[in-house]
Formats: sequence, structure tokens, C-alpha cells
Amino acid sequence: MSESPATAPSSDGKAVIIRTLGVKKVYGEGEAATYALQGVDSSIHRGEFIAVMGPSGSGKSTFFNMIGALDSPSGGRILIDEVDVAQLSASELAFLRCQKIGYIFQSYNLIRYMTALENVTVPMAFAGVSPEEARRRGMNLLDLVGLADRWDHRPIEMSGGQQQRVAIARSMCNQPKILLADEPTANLDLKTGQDILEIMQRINKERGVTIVCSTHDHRLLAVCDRIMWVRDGTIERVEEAKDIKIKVGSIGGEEH
Amino acid sequence: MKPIEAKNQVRLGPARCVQLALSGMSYRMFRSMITISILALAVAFLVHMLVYGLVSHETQTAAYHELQQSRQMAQIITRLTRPDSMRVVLDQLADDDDDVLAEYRAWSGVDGPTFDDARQAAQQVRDFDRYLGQLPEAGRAAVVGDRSTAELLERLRDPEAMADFTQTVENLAVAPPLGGYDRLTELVNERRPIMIEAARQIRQGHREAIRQVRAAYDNRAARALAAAPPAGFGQSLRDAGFAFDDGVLPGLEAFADRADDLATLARLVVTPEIRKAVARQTDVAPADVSLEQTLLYVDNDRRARWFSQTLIDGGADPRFTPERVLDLSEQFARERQLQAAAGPEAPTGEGGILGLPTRTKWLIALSFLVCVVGVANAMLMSVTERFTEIATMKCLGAMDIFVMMMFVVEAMIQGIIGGIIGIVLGVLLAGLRGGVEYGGLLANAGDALADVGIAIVLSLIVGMLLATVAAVGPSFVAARLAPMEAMRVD
Repeated sequence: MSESPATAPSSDGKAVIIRTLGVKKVYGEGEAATYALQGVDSSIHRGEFIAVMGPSGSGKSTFFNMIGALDSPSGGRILIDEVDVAQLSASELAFLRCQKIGYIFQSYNLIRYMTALENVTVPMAFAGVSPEEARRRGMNLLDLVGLADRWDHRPIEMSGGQQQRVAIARSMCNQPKILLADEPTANLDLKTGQDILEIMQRINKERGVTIVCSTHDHRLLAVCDRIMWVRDGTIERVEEAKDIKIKVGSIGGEEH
Repeated sequence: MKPIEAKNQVRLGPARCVQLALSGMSYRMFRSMITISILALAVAFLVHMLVYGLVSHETQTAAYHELQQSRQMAQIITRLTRPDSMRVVLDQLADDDDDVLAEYRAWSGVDGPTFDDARQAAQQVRDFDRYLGQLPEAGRAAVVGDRSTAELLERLRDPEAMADFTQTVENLAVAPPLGGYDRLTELVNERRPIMIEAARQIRQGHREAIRQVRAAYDNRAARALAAAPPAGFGQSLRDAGFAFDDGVLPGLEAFADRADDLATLARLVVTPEIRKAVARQTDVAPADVSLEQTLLYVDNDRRARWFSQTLIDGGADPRFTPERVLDLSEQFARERQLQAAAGPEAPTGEGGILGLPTRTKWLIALSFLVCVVGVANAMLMSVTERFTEIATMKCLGAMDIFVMMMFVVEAMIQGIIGGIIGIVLGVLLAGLRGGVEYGGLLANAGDALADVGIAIVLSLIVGMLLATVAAVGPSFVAARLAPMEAMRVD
């Protein structure tokens, strides 16, 4: 993350890290076809914390999978750092997912038979980091999320919040530029969800990692920079968080 | 801004795959154990079939040869005593035993073509005999009556009798003998006289050979010669035209002794006193007492002591000590085992794994098919229930090849473990079955050990391949899925 910034400034002058151009996604064929995304144009800037909000079935998760290169679009282009994802080979895609993007899922998706530390070191193994170095870095990351003392616990022995924190540590282990979180707090209680949000905010502020987080959680409005409202497979509107903070503040009263 | 470099992902070595596969397996212990059990059963079946087939074949071959040797020894003693009977000579002429044919050729004193004519005639006579045997009951009565085949053939020299015979056979509406009446006529009138003359000369030559051997050893009886073969005995036998295996001579004495003792015993057990004693001891009717039954009864020290005492009390030679009696009994039991093991026919020349019966090969192929389906199913289940894990791994940067290798390596490890368990099971099973079937004769199968080793290694490889092949399909499908497609399946 030490590269010199700015090759492709957006209209407001910030560097764009993820850009989607008319992205479409259709599930099924013919009569049964469902249009999950119908031509999404968006740009996400470097270092930004973006919340993707919208009702269930609006295409949030599909959008999330598209920009994470986890699924291929039916039409349109996705550019990550101005590289067209469709142009990448399987091996290059694996490299992208391993080194450049970190993923956090609603259901944590930890590997059940591995300890917390092993879970964190898996992506480093894929990146070719030596086991000793991976252990060292893994312990640091677990320390960052406050789970250093539980490094040898398996997912089944941990609470949801702890599992999600391990997942965050795992997503950060190869120092990605982008962190994609798909409803990270949906399965957690208020307090734990708050902890997770705080950790994410810290990662965003201290490490300058771009975060895209799809969510129903309105507390996220307090920590994010911009909000994308998704409805019926399109981006309805994009708002600056500071413009609506007052509105939400009066309802939730959760922010600092 | 510098774009994200489109670099290729690092490839992980097999060691990491093995490590992941192992930790995955220990987590899914139950499913792994089912897969391993299926593999173990299939390999056990294979190993059992192979090992039992090999050992069984070897035991049968060994038994056949041992019996063959006894038969040869008995034959040598008989043939040193008197020439083969006419019937035996004609049978042997029709047969293909090269040793005997060489003897006969030497003794017959006729030239090659004539000898071949005689052989052909002997074969035709045998064919004719079989032909008559296959005729329907009524037809045979009309054609043959109560005459022997030789008598009938002799009678057919008369053209009138031949015409009569032809008429009768045609009335029966069956095929003519030997493929045509002209051949029968030829046999009756030309070949058969040659054959009979040759057989007569063979017997004459045999008698001459016996005389020659005995003359060389001061006219000692053949039995005495066989019991203690003098130096150069084999050579003089050969000089006289006898053909035999060299391996036979050293055991000849013990064999002759045993034959003598058995003959004596056979006489003794039917004497009234001993018969009564044996009947009382073995709890059978006196009329049912036989040498066989008695020898089979005398199978331990205590019984041997009793039998020896009974024999000596009954006036037998004191050489029938308990040890001797027990030895005779054991030899007799072994002979019976050998006969049971050897079967009526000579074993096929083909040994080793390729020599297994076709039925066994089919069974093995079938068990493989069942095993492949079983393991493929287990693998498919294992892969399906791990779709989320696979998707996660792919999100974290795993390459398709790594995901595939993870499953294939797991299958290979299961294949090895299952294979080893299966081999132990299979060998135990084969040993058990062999022990029940052949008893002590199994010790004769030592020559099969190398083949058994090959079979075991082969089975291990096959078990591993089986598991691997079964895993490739499902894991290939899983590895090719895009991460989110895989997660959606869940």
C-alpha cells in the first residue's frame, strides 16, 4: 500500500480502486430468468469505507460477489485497480483473491477442523509464506482482533463474534488493498456487532484499506464514508455519510 | 496509481496437501473410516482371491507331482517285476506319455512309421471303444452283444460280419464310427494287426529288458533291487530302455518298504483276532474293519501304542513299533490328502497370477466395479458436504489444482490404509481357507510365496489407484466451480 497514488482519478479527484460498468447478472434462463443485477455503474475510491445497503433480494450479495471476483457477471465489466477481472486467468484470479482482496462472510466460513491460528495462516500458505513467518504474522493478527489467547481453539469452541474476529484476522493476513464484508454483523448481537464494526473501522483508518460492506446494520452509517443504496438490481442513489448522519443519529443514538 | 499486478498464484507442494488432507480426515473420522472399510473389503477380497488361487494352484501342483512320483515308484517296481499287460501296452500306445512311448519305441524293435501306425491304430481302437459306449442302449446290444471291443474288431475282419455291422449301425440312424466305414475296414484289416504285432514285440522287449537288468545284478528280485538300489542301477535301467525321472530312485527304498508294510498290514487286519480287536476298539462291526479305516483311526501316540501291541499280540512282526505304525498312518493320511488336493487331472502349466481360473478373474473384476462405485459415492458425499469449505478455500486463493489434490491425496491415504488392512484381512482369510482345504499340505506351497508377494504389492497399488480414480471425478467437479456457485449449493 505504499504505491504512489492516482492514475485514474474519478470526477471528484480521488483514485478509483473498484469500478463497475453496466454489470448485469442473470440467474436461470428463459422464462425463469431472474435479473439480480441490471446494469450497475459504480466506482469505489481508494481508502474509502463504503456501506452497501438495501432490502433483502435487492442484489446486494450479488454485487458483493461481482466486485470480489467470486462470480462472473452476465454482462458488463468489473475493473479492480483498472484491471478487467474477466481478462484474468484462473491462476491470476487466485492471486487476486489471495493477495489483494480480503473477504468476510455473514456465516464466518472458517474451516471447521482448523484452529484459529491455522485458519488465519491458510491464505498465507496459499501466498507462499513460510510456515514460521505465517505463524508469527498470524499471532500478530489474532492479537489485533483480541484473540491471541485463543489461537488453538477450533471454530466450534468459539462464539460467533470470536469466529468473525478470526475471519477478519484471516482476511487481513496478506495485507489486502480491499476488504469485502458481506453482512458481517447480521448473525451477531448488538455488542459483538459493534466490536466487529470498530475493528473494521480501525483497519480502514489505520491501514488505509478500502472496505466495502454490505449490511442491514444502520450503525454502519456512523463509521462509513459513503452509502450505496441498492434496490431491484440497480444502485438507487449514493450518499455521503455525513449528509445523513444527523437523520440516523436521531433514530439510533448509537454513534459517538 | 500502479495497477494490481496480474501475477500468477504460488503453487503449493504436495507436503502441504498431505497435511491438509490428514487434518481433514481426522476431523471427518467416521466418513473416512467408512471409505477405508469399503476399500479394505475390496482389497481383502482381491488379495484373498489372488493368494488363495496362487497357493491352491501351487499346492495342487505339488500334490500332483508327489502323487506322480509315488505312482512312478510303484510303476518302476511293478515294471521291473513283469512286463506290462497287453491292455496296459495298448492304453499307453494310445496315450501321450513321452517317457513310456520312448521305452516302447526302443523295445518294439520296429521302424518309426510302423510304430506310428501302431499308435494311430491304438488311438482309433480307443475312439471306436468310446463310439460304442455312446451308442444307445438297444443299439449297443444289437451291435456289440456281450463281446468285448477287441472281439468285435477281430470278428469284423470277416467281410460278411462287417456288412452286417454296417447295416445294423445304419438302421440305428447314427453317424458311422471313426468318420467312415472305410476307415473302420482299414483299421480292422491293416492297422490293427500291425498294432497287435507291435504290442507283442513291446512286451517281448520289456521281458528282455527285465532279464537284462536282473542278469546285471546276479538275478536278484526286482523288489530287492528297488529296496536298495545298487550303484549304477539307474544307468543299467536306462541301458535296458527304461525311462524315468532321476528324482524317483533315492526315495525308492522307503517307498518299497512302506508298500511292503502296507501290504502286510492289509493282510493282518483281516485276520479274525486283530479284526475283532480293532472292531471293539473303534466301535464298528467286525465286517467293516478295513486297512483304511484302521490307519485313519491310529492318528496319535496312544492309539499307535495300542495298535502296535494288538498287532504284535496277533503274531505280527516286531517291526510294527508304535512309531512305525504312526508313521504308516501319517503317510496314509497324507496320501489321501494329496489325492483330494491333486484332483483327477494334471494341473495346467500356467502358474502365477495369470494362471488363475477365468471365473476368479471375473469375480475380481466385479468386486472392483462394486468397490469403485462405493468409493466414488463416498468421495462424492465427502466432496458435496465440503462445498462451503472448497468455496472458502478458493476465496482465500486456493488454486483448482490444489483443491483437487487435497481430495485426491486424501483418497490416496485412505487407499493405502484401506489397502494395508485389506491385505492383512485377505491373507488371513486365504490362509484360513487354505488350512481348512489342504491342511498340512499348505507347507508345499512355498514356491508360490514370490507370486503371493507380487499379488500383495499389486493389491496395494490397485487399492490406492482405485481410491484415487474414484476421487478424481467428484473433486474435479468441485474444484472447477466458481467460489460463489459452490457456496450456493450448500
